[in-house]
Amino acid sequence: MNAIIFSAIMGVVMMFSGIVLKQKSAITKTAIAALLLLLAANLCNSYSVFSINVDTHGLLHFNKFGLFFNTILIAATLVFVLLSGSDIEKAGANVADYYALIFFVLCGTSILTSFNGLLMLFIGIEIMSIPLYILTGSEKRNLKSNEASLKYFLMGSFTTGIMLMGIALIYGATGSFSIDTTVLTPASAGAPVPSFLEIAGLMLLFVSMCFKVSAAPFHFWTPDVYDGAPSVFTSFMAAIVKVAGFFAFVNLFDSSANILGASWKILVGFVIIATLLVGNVTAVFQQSIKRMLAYSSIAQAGFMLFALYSRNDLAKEGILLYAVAYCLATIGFFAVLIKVKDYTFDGFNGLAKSQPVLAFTAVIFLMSLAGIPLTAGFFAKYYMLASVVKAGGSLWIVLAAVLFAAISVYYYFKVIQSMYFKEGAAETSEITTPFKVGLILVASAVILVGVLPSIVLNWFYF
Amino acid sequence: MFYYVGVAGALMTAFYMFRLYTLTFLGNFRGTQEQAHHLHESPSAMTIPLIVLAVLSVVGGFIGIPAAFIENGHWLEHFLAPVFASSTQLKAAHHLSHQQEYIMMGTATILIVAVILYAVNTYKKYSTDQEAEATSIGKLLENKWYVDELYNAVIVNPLHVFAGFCKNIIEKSGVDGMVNGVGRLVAYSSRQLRLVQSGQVASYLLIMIMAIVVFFLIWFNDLTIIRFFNKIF
Amino acid sequence: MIALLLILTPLVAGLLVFFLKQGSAAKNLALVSSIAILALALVAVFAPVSPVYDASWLTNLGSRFTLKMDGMGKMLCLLTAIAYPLVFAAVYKNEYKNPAAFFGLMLLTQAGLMGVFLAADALLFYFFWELALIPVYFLCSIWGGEKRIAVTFKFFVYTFIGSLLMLVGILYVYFHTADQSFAMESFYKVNLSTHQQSYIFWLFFVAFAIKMPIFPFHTWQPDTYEQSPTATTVIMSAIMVKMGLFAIVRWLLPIFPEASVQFANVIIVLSVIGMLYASLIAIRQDDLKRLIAYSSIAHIGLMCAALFTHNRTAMDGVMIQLFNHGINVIGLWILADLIEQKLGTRKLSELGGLAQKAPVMAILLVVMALANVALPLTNAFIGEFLMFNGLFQFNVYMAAVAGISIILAAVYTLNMVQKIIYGEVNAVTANAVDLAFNVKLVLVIIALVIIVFGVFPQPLIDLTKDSAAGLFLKK
Repeated sequence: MNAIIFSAIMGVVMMFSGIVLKQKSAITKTAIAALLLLLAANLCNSYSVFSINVDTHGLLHFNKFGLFFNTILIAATLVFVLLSGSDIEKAGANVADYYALIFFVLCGTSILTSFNGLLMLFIGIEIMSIPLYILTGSEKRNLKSNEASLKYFLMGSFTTGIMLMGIALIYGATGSFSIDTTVLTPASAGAPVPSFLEIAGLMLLFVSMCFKVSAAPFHFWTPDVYDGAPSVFTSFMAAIVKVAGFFAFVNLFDSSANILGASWKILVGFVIIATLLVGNVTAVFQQSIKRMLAYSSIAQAGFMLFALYSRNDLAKEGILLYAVAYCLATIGFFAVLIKVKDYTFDGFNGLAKSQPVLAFTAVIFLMSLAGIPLTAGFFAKYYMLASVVKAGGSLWIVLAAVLFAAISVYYYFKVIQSMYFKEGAAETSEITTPFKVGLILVASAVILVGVLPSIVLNWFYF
Repeated sequence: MFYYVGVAGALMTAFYMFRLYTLTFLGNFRGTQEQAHHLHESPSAMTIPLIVLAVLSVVGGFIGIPAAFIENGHWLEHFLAPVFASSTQLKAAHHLSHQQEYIMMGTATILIVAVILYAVNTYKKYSTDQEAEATSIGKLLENKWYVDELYNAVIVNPLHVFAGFCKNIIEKSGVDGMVNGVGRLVAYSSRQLRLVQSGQVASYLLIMIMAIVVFFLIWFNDLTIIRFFNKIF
Repeated sequence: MIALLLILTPLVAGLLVFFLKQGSAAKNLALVSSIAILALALVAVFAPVSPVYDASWLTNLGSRFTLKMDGMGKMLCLLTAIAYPLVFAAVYKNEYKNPAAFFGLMLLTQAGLMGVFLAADALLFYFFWELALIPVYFLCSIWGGEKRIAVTFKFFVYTFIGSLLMLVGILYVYFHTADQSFAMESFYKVNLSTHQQSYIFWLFFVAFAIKMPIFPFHTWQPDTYEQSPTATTVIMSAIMVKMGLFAIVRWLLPIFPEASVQFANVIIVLSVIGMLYASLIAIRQDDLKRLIAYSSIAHIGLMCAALFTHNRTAMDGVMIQLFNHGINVIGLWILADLIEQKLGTRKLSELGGLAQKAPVMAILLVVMALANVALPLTNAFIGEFLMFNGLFQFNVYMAAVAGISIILAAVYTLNMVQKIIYGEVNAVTANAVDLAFNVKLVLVIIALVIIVFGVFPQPLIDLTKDSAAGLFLKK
């Protein structure tokens, strides 16, 4: 409960800090302090040192898994603000508001990690999404940003409708919003065959969640929105928000998919293949790195979907690890990207010469995204593949995923090629030493998790 | 029978060795003036080994003296005996009298001396401008029975052509072409898939709706799909 | 412990060299540390030290940091350790831009290679397998020839696909081990049905086949060898390709005994086709580097075929040949590089008359070339002989067809020698000078090794006895 309450309070605090503090950097510092406080509060909660408990009548349910995930999300946001805080300040005039919105998003994600009923799921998703619509359009004078925001809002509303429809159908079928009595019913022998309403409801729920995590063929908003939004917020959306969405997705269908039976695997398999195909293959031909990253985030979503396909313990551990690895690499790489003036591949030419630290850390982030061993991304992908192999019987989908992973090497390494092997004068905005140190730290973390993933997982089990 | 073939071989050897000797050392010099100027005795590094070899070859002839001259003088007779141990058992002992041996050796020596004289005589006055168009057999010999040509035509050239075919066609367009083709296919599908991302919200929503319909179809036909997959794999 | 040192030393030295500012210091440090690693390897191979190192690593995944040195691993570690000082000495006078990074990456590659030959844990093996690849990617892409970016990228993606397939295979076997462990022993004990073996086998084999490379997975190789800086090419062709053969012996044959018998025919046919095919192409090559590359494909093909004969004699032959082929190609590549550096061309048609201009080089080239043809008294002869022997026992016709490749090898190698060192001195070769001291030293050492092991190959056979025998114990 701590995370939800504190993030809401911090959001309000940040809103008013804009009135009190005139200096932009002071606002960033406040945000960092607030994030640290939030992190501490959540840690207190997970170690049962201090927690505020409000009776939610079973609508929310806090477990270690969810709390740990909160920690990951808040820590990732902290890293994000530390690295890209100066760029948030440049994104527009109302810095305090942006931070406030970020805290509201965190409030939404905190609800998503603890929801225990479809109602709370819906509220969490909406609290998370609405600030994002605003953040996307925060560059008021940029037409692309406005267009992206509007598109995001239109399509987001459309899926909200679908989701509500799904919840309504399930409610109609079972008379309850709670997951316990509705979707959690396992299909044991002799159990009543699920009604059409229930199935249709689940299906619509599935579709709307697919939209939120940008799984094909509901991914269309992603490239346009990621491309149009200011790069800092794209980073935030691509990393933290997406991962939180996945957590909710996995939790929601953790056991409910039992009643969907064999068709569940066909359905998810179809979505996985489509997502990997669209993400990886389309990314190959992109000219802008930012847009390429949008497609790459679709491709990564395809990998994370494996957790839904296999649904075992390994998948749960994997989604944790994936969250860490993916957040670190995405935030890190976006931090580098924001500094470079030209987002095309050619704009990165010769970056290794002019900014060796940026280029080197970028290589590590890209390798992690590509899933090369010794980086965190490898174990993230490893767990996903392992969970499917363990579930057994679906080697073909693993092989397909592996081939798509090989394609992904193409576009990630194209950036490396630009930076290291091609001549050019990549222009960057001013790079401060703390920023470089921050990048190196994040890159070291990526390698550390890549060598000893048990650091993250042991923490989870502690 | 084998004796005659052997003698014929020895005769030919005698002929070409002395033809070589005569052409090289006897007769007139046929090279240019300049080449004549450069002629000199070989350095001692070459002459000394040559002398040693010459001495040894004379000595060598005496190692294998037939029993007809000195009993048990043939040092080499049993040199390889262990190797042929099994084969000598299979072969019937075949002995010639010393008389026969003398005749055979004599004939051979006389013939060889005759051939040597003939060779020296023929080529003593040989000069380059005198070179006649070789007659049919001479031509055949000059071209080494055309074995090289035959070999070229049957083995070397087809091999070369085939190797070239492998290198330029199979490797480039076949094996490597396939590998590169996969890459090109990905790039091509990337260009095509990109077009789906049209930027039109309406078309996005349409595709999403269609996908939902497809999902429902999948759900209601799961058994058919599973059966289909089982048939393929 | 010594096994760990063999990996750690190049790793640490590589990182140190990488961050050195001064180029010459980096070069010297790299040379010194490579010699130190050679000393370590000699100790590891010949001294009675424990060949096993074990530490906990990913306990909850069932993977441990286990290193184990068997005979074949010993030999390949030794080859790796020998190759590096030779290469570093030979390129000592070459100019590289940013030499610190170059030598640093080279040493990192060595760490990866050592790891591959030592790892006794499947996941660890996979790690090192990739670790050896990544520095090479950068080495080729930064210091390579004109078309380096595209060519190296193809190489990288190609091998990466292979490794990923292998990863899936490793995962599959892992979940079928009795104790859910990646340890080599557990993998060896795993019981897969014939049907399971028959497809998981290919996941592994394709990865190894791409690395070796076996026809038709070989097309990355000539391009990459041609475009890479020679020091890297030497390492790739002398050692990296051996990773595939090594992995077959250590990770494929024992885990999939039935499948490897079942598919032996297919693989041997592929290998033999590859031998002839590569030899034929080598005959028509005008480019010196590509010629050596195709010749290497042919030699590797023979080794792969011999591995699948499941014949003890052939296995001994492979073990010896792993080492000897490595030594020979090092010599050939160094010479090829020398010719290109000195004369500015690799085209055979433009060369000629080097015997007059550079007699020492010509002699050494002839020695290497004869070793490449596997003439008796050169080191390659005994290995090839044993392999053909094994192949002959497996299938006479296959051996006969494969035997043609020996003739073809003589054709292209002698043709190469003829075009380089004989003939008229032309404009290109007119200014050729003989070898510098460092290169001469390296090449003379190699020539000595060629002749010594050509006459007396027994130490190599003894060294690898247990690996070859181990394979036959399982059945």
